[in-house]
Amino acid sequence: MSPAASPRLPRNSKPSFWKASDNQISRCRVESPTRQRFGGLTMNSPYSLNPPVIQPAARHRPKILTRLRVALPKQLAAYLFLLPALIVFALFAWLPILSSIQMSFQDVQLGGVGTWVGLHNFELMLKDPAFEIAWQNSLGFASWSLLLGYFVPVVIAILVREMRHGTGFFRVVYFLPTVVPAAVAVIIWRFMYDPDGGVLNEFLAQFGIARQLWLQDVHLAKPALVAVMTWSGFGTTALIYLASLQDVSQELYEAAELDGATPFQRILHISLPHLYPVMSLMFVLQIISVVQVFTEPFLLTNGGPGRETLTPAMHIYNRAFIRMDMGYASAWSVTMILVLVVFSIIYRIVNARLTNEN
Amino acid sequence: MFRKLTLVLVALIAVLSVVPVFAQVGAPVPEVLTLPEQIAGGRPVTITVSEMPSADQAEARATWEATAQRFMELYPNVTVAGSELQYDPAAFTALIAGQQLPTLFRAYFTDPPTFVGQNAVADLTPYFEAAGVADVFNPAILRNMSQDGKIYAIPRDAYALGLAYNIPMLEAAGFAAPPATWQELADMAVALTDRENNVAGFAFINDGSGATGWHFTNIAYGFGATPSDIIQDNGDGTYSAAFGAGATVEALEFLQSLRWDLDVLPGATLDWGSISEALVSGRVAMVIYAGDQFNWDYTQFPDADLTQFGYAAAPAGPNGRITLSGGNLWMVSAFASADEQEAAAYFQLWRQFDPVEMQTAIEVTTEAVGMPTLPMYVGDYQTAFAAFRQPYNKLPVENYAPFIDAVTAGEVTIQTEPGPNVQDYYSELGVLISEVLSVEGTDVASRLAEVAEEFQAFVLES
Repeated sequence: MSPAASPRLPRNSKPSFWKASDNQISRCRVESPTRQRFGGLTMNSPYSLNPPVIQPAARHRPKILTRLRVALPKQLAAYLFLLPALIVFALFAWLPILSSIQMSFQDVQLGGVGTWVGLHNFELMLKDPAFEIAWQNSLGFASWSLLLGYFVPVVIAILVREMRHGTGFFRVVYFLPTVVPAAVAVIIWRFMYDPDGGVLNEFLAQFGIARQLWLQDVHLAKPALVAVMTWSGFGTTALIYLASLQDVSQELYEAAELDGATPFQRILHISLPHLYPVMSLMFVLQIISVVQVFTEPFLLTNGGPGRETLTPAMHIYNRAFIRMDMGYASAWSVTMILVLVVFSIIYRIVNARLTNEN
Repeated sequence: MFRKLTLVLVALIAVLSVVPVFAQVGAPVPEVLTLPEQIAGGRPVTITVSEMPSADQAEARATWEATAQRFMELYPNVTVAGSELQYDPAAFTALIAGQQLPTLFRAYFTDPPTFVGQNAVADLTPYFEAAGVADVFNPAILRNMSQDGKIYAIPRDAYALGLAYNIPMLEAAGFAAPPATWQELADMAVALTDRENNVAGFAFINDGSGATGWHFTNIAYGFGATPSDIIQDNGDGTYSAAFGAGATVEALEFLQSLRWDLDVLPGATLDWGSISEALVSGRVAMVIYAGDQFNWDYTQFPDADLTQFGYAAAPAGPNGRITLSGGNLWMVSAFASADEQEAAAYFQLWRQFDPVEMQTAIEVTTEAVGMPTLPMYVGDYQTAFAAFRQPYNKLPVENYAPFIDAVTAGEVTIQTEPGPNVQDYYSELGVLISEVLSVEGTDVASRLAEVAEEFQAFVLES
């Protein structure tokens, strides 16, 4: 029976590999599980990051005070449980953020009192030649990391998912680099990248490729560092993708196989669509972490060669803890927060547009 | 205790076995110190002393406490309280502000002007004179910690930058001696470079950090720069960044040609630790080296054959051989009472000069005795001091003769670090050098001028 002839298919645009019985076809429909879960509720896309929540019917809302009076005794225990976490967050996350905003407008004297200097630190920052360099490097790192690193965990997760045997083994193997402490990883990579007799150069020499200065060459330093970041980070991300893939009903794959779908088609039409929301979230997280990158350039290149791998986070560290200019470094930190906030807002708007269009 | 005994035994055996070779063996511990009958007039006084080893270093801690105990037995009215606080320029800035300096604390050779300028440290001249050690110290070193004829610190050890080299490599290439001039160094480096076997002819710390700027500054001194050619004291409390022109440019162009014309530098980035590794593993033939780094070689690479390495003074330039020097010293807080200051000053002088303390210290020390550092003392005392230490040498000191001889013959000018903000200057230079070494054809003169301008605006005038 051809799919188009099926009365249960709303559109006749189904891929041709779905041509089993009606029953199977309806189970094959990718969006069906989600649709069923929401009980036929209208939604734009099953992959939206913001699935619509079923709103209770609007009812009369009592005044805030009354509500508080009623709610507080009831929720007191809950707030008590929250309290330790709130205190820890306040002391070690929010307070430092607030004080760094304060310090960005001050000339900070360690052990003394800071004097207010208005926007002086920010004016200096804009005059600092490192400002343009560090942010350009950030952009470079972000591009390289999307190019080299973004799809690696997706591919790994799908490969592991597709494996018939040894899934557990490969899950562990791919996660191993994540377990290696950064300091150890850096030593390993130093050996790899060593231009004079390092592992990588010795290996390439077998094929007659000349000695490369991986970390000392202005063109290679950034991608070389991105390779290290990808290596040490892809395990966690792949695990997240893998966990997401576990949600896909096994029946979907079986059905697709029965329909004669090739592995590539299965991936293209089942696995990948299912991963889109997670991928989109990972995109944001990756950008945020790349903009803040510090460990790899700090330990492997010290921002060099020249300032080729100097990142804003490294510059903040240098100014705060090497030059002891806390106020100036705070101005940079505040700028970094602003950049990331603006990026996140733009991303949310764009993402919302895209999901609406679907 | 057992360890101590073994060490004594080992030392004894060592002494006995070399008796025929060295005439001065078994030289007595030199004595020079005159101690007062009483400290602080016998009034009870408590001093805090920084750098006490932490509890996890049990042996060192026990040694430290035993030393303090002996001093307290000598002067029962004095209590020596240890503090694990270690010197850190940034942290101590805050301690000055809070007037919370330990009574006695360690700092670097570059620091006295800062501390003296803030009236944070005590004048120690009276104690130097009363104890009879004022003329014992090397005046070239003491000058670094004196102002207007007053001495503000007790120097403990002094390193100098020189040139370490792989003796077999130099011999194999037909060189009998280390280079005498920078041009000779370049020529020798070309002959010594062997890319097939990953050997670089010459290296300095090139990781782009402050240490890179530190090594470079010694090269710049070699090309004729003086500290005031780098950062100039205008005499009115302001300073000018002067390193944008002159000998610093020549020195940087020299490094540029070593990298791009002669290609004699290592490809890897070497920091303070890895440059030692490169030297002992035969990956570089000649390196700019601080004499006390042989201690690192000795402790970190126990399998390395250190007899293969020699040490010489830096090559000569227009102003002769110049060595950049630094080191550790002890200062006494000016915020302490007069009694406390007196007790602190005598405690340091006593543990540095008391024969029993010196004997104990040299027996238990884990450091490589025999490092080619600058002589701390002068005259008869230095001779006796060297003779006393000689049996305990753990390093092949005869290899360091080119350095020691040049220094004792007065051929080497000991030059201090430029200042103020020397660490910031080092960092900025480190970045620029890394750029020059990685980007071919950098316009050295104009980039140096730019960096000097930035340094002026962001550091000296901010």
